[in-house]
Amino acid sequence: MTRSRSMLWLIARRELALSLRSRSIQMFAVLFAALALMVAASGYVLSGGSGFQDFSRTAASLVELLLLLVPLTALIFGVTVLTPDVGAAELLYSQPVERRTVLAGQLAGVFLALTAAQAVGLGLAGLVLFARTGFDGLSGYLGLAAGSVALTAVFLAIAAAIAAGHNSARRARALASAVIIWLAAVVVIDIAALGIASALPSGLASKTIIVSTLANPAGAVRTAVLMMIEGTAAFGSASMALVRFTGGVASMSAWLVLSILVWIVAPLVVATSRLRKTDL
Amino acid sequence: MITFAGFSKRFGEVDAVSSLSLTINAGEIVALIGPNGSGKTTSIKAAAGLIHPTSGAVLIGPDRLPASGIAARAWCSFLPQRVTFPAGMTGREVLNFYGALRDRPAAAIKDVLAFTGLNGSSRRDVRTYSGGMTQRLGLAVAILPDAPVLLLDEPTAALDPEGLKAFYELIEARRKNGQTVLFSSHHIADVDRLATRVITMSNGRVVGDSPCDH
Amino acid sequence: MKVVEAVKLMRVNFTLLAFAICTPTLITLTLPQFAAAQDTTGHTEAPPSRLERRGPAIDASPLQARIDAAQPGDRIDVAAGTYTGDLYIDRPLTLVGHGRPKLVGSGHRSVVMIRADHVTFDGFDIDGQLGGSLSDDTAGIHVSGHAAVIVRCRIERSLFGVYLYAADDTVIDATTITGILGKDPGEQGSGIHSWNTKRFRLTGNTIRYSRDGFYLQSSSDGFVLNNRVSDVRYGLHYMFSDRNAFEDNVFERGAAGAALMYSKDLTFRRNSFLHSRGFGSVGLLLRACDNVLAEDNLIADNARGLFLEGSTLNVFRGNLIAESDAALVIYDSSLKNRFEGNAFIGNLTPLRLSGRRTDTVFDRNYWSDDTGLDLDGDGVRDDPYRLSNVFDHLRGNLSAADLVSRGLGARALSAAERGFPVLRPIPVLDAHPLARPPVLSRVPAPPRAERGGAGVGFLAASAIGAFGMATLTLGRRLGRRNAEAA
Repeated sequence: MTRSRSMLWLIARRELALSLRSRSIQMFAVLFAALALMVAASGYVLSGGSGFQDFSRTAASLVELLLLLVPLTALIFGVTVLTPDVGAAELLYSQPVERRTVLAGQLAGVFLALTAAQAVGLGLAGLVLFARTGFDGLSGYLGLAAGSVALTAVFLAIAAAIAAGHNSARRARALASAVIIWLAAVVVIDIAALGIASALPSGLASKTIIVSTLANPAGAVRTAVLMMIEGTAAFGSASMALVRFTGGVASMSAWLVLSILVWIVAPLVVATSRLRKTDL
Repeated sequence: MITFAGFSKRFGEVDAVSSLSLTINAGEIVALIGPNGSGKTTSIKAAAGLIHPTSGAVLIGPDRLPASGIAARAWCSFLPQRVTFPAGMTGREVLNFYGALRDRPAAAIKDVLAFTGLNGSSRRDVRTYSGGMTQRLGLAVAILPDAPVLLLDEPTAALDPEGLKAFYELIEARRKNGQTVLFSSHHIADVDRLATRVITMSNGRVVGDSPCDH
Repeated sequence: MKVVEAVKLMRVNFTLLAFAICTPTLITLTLPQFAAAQDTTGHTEAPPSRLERRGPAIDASPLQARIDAAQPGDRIDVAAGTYTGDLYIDRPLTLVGHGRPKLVGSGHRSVVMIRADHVTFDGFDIDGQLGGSLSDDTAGIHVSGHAAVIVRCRIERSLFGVYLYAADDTVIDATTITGILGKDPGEQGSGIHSWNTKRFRLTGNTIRYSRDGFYLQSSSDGFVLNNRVSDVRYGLHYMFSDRNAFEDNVFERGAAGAALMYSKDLTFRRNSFLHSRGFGSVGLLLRACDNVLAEDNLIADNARGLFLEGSTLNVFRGNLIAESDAALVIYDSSLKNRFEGNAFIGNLTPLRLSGRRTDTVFDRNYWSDDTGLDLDGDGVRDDPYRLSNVFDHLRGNLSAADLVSRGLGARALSAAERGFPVLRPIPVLDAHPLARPPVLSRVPAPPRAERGGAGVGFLAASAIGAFGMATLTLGRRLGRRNAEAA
């Protein structure tokens, strides 16, 4: 066990170093930091300079940025790392290390690299935010950070489910699936749920929306983080519908966390079981 | 050291290898020859634990461990046909990584670097390496663990002259030490010069198995 | 001009794309908007029928003898201490408490009954002992004379705080009234209740936990200034009270910040209506009110910002309406109202309309969710702003719709719907939406939460940023460092 743990850490460190040396992740870090700073700096202007809830409004804009960028980058970097050239994969997987340890190590490395890249942007945005809008938003800010970590973990796990066991010959196809999944999670599922709901009687319709929001990891993270920023009333009467449906604020939080955890664990189970059976 | 016990592998509709039964003993240097698609690579990758048998088994070592388990893989070291390394690491870092995976001391890394003639370029990013140098680095990774069983898939195809020289020396040394080698090849010259036993495959079956004296 | 065309074309292309994604959904969204349930907030109270009289001697305060012995116009100084019993003041006097003397009522009627004109009552703590009854208007101080002055008092455990009964020209200043916490609003009275009183001035008072903060019935020509009311049903409640003004007050956490009913010619400025967050709660409610002028108010963080029903000819100018689920709820019974120069910021929806149309005029307001362009740079967006989006149609039927209203899917849907309005849009427009938020310097600043977490916030942000930077720089060398270790 200790050996496989130290192997995991060894592989994670290599993947971390490799990721951080790649142009693309450096560019992502810079781009993300620039956008986050832009949002943090313009949040005040957007809020009308009224000073009213500057923090929540700016933080809510940051949530949109996170939802747009983090799942997509996690999917793309994840798929790219997990679809190596044949010669590299064969060499790595012929070593006396469990395949799941290799996978876990690679994911851990990319995860660290991505969260570090995001942390630079979030840290800078946080400094601007706290300096200008006061300090009433600590829990919201931590929620943002937790949200970006959760999104990274979820979509890396999904990337693993798409890509594990494949090599660079299948990379293009895996990337295409990744983009489709991203589009589904951040755009299509919401619209589809609305479409279905508007054809249903109202009680069932609300349940459809609530369930689709809870079941979609992007929706769950969005809901949880916005509630951490703006309080449980963030969605007006929809908040109440959600709280009532889940049976209270505590169990609602539990459901949101559970959804996120399931979306991390389930794809990883799929990925490891496929990786175990695959011929490399 | 390597036992193919009725090993069969089917990819979709194609039988890559059909009930291969074969025992390779310690100290043998075995060449696997045959035309493309005869099942050489599949057999070697099965021994390296990368391919799961459709039926039968591939067993490694005196304890006959299933090839796909990590215990068996500690007995083996494998060099793929055309090895690649992710850009962004130096040759030295690649060896450090694989050395750490197999608990090798720093001295061993120095040795294999010298042996494969990569001493001068070990601090360069692998993306600046030529094809021959890359394959030599692969060879360095493969010999680094000093494993009892060495599995090489077409080792001479991509090696440059310097690499070939190292490769010949390596096989010579292993024969002297009584270590096992299984390699596939197109080059009859290699086979004649190196192997103690030649196995010929065609359409997934063994069609010839003969000792080879020098 | 060419640039303008190009940008417009780009926008159309984007909407086309969004439309392609969203068409199937939009087609199903043709359900009519659900009419919000009629509010049941208003009520009329009958005028009080009788006045409490002087109680038996056993219930009287030890101070009663001094009052009974005083000449009209005398000043009575009261030393610190607790005085149990009721006070009946039937002649013009000035009572001044020193060291906050405490008046504890008998529990059978109002603690202080003012039954003469020109009584001044300054610096007392009053405990109503939870006594009396609502039908007797039992209060901490009950006034039925003119020109009373009540200052620096504290009133608690009393059904009503101060009751003005035809008490023209009364002043209540710097007085704190705490209702009975936990008692149902229907079972207690208001902090300051005024009936048939003219030219009152209610200033600088603090009221909590009562039924309404101020309940002003048939009381005209008064001022309510600089008060602070929280945790009540309605912060300020006018009934049949014309020509009134209220300014610089703060109303928080009520079912309504202020409820203006059946009154006309009201003017109010620079008030804050905050945190009315309960279900159906509202920052500012107008029912059957005419000729109201509202300027420079802050209406923020309410379930519904401004509720307008059966009210005509009202003008709202330069107010900041923010962070509501619905900024405006307007019933089609409201006519000829006008909104100009207001800033609508961060509301989930700008307008919920009951009925199919409204003649409300919106002009030169700022709408934070308006993404229209101002290419000619005149400070007004080139296209009118439509006060409805696809989610307004959904909300009526679908209480959970807002769960997805802030995702990227909703953005695409809204963009598509604006480009190709397949839903019959409610024809409510702001013809000249401002491109930039107006400077509303007279609007009160929003309350700032405590800055206690200052260091922690900076620390958290720095730690997160430092983790990122450290990992980015050190992580790259991990392989190399390992090289030396190996």
